[in-house]
Amino acid sequence: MNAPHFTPALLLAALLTGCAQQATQQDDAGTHDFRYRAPQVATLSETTTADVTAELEFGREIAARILARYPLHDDPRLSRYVSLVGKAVAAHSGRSDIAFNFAVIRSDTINAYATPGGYVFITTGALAAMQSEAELAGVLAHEIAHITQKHIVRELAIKGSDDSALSGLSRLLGAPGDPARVAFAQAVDRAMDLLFSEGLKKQDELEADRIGTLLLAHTGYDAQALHRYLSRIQHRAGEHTATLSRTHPPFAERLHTITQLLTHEGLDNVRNPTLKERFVTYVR
Amino acid sequence: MKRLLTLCCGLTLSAFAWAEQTVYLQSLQATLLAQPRFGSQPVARLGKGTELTQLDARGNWRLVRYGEQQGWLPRLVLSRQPPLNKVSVLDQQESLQQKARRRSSTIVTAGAARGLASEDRARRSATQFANYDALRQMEAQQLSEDAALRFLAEGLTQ
Repeated sequence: MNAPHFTPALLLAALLTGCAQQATQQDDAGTHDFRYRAPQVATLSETTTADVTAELEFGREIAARILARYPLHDDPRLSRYVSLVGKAVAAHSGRSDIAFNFAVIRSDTINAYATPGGYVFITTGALAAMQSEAELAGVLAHEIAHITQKHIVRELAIKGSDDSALSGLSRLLGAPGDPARVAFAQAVDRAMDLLFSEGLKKQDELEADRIGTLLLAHTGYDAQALHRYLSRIQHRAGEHTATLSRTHPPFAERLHTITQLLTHEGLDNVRNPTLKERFVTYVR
Repeated sequence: MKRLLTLCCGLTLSAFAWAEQTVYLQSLQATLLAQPRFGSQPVARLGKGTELTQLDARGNWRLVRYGEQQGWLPRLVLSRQPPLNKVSVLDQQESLQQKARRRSSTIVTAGAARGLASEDRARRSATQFANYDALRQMEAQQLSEDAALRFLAEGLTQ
């Protein structure tokens, strides 16, 4: 091939391919959300076992901190039920490389938390506000989406050997000496601030709502369950929803995002089970 | 003419770049569907690590070829790299207590590094207390994914 034409042709090909992928991402969002983060486009960085190990170590430390704030709820039957529902949803996600762990924590606040590495917590207050297993699955799916999309790790933006979200953590854990341990401790502090004070980026919370809703549908639950739950708790403004309101986008925006997705995917016409009766036997 | 040739080359190369990518199923299981929409006819049930050829994309769905069959899968369960085996840190040699002591000293060091007064460091350490016993209890609930999927199936088929 004539070299002067081949190089510009290659560049044009790369540009068109990139545009096609970006256009696809915009369709995926269900809205023309131009804030879709670039790393969501297929990354060429390869996640290694060392990267996932670092994610797990990091996530365990944050999980231990959460458990210092809120005690585990002492009800083995309920804990097992929540774990079964959560693991079934997680089995349909793209993270089969980690074993998800689920726990009910004792607090009247209506909230749930997720750490890197697969640690998911739901408060007794949140469970009390739910009416079906599909709603429980929906909230857990939202948290699982934070993990699959590595929102906390990306937010920390720890520089690694490549552009992947986890290589920075991996490098931190592998480095010897006090400076690396101090940096790790500070990263854990920052993660706790994100979970309990500042909240993640709005685009990450809305993405977790979208992906959580899709995950709910793929698992086989009623895809409208998360929307129904958020609609109910938005009218419970007050002390028990204060943290949720502070760390998440406004309810109206979240509900609008989910509604758009449900319409876009034709899920407003699909009737999957809610499993209300089974939920009541375990939770009430 | 030269510009037209360049454009044609670019479009052709772009088409090849997008089409026919090898992708792998990341989730434990997934159902290949006949159409890119929920509730459509199932074509095949696939397991983790299945190698597929991606043919097309439409929104949240990817058209893939699996052997002689074709069907649609959700984008969120596909990746260009094969899935890793399950990774765990629960069988590591260093005890949790040793790690806790190491982290406690790190917290103090971090506090000093931030120039906090000793009283502030103590207060901060108290709020940064970590409950490793509860963490162990949480991790002790070893429920298999198979058990979870059976529990799900029981509910969905009621």
